[in-house]
Amino acid sequence: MPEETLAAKPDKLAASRPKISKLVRLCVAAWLAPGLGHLLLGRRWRALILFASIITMYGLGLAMQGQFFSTASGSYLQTLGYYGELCVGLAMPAARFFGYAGGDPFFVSSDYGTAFLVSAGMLNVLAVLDCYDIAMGRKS
Amino acid sequence: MNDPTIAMALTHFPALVIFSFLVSVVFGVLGKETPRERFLYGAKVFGWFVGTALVLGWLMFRIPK
Repeated sequence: MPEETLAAKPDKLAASRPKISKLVRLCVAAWLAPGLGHLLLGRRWRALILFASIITMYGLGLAMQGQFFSTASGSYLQTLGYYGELCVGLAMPAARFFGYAGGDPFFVSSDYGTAFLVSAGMLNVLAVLDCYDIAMGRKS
Repeated sequence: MNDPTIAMALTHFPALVIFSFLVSVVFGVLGKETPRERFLYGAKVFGWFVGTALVLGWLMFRIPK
């Protein structure tokens, strides 16, 4: 590759990089609703698949009476679990709004449900990072 | 919603298969670029999830109680 091209590439990348405010808006949108960040970037199919997969996983977690963690217990693991579940964005407050009281720990599938809830949050974190990478021009 | 009569009771294996499928779909979509690569990668991840669980389950079954 000629030297001129090598020197010009970082400048070109810097010029195409979006503003911080746009990046923050995209990441917040991607966090609030799974797939929304991709939708705003014009990746409609990817957005739809991410939304369907993550929300299905979250819904199954609720159906299996997965527990909502809280920060009040003082346990690090419970606090991590709380933030893990919060990573799905609006799904947690929406479930509470519609009357989900936080799961029944004595229900037979409750542990699986809790794993589904936290995993849905972690998958949404991956989706947010992917959205960030696309916005930065590192991925298509 | 906390009434267990309307809750979904799954045994371990169906829960594992559903979990593996959904995670594999997301990994495939995020990890690769072309539809073919995504499908193959997702199928591979799904196979590894289920296969590893079956092998570990079989090994634990062999451990005397």
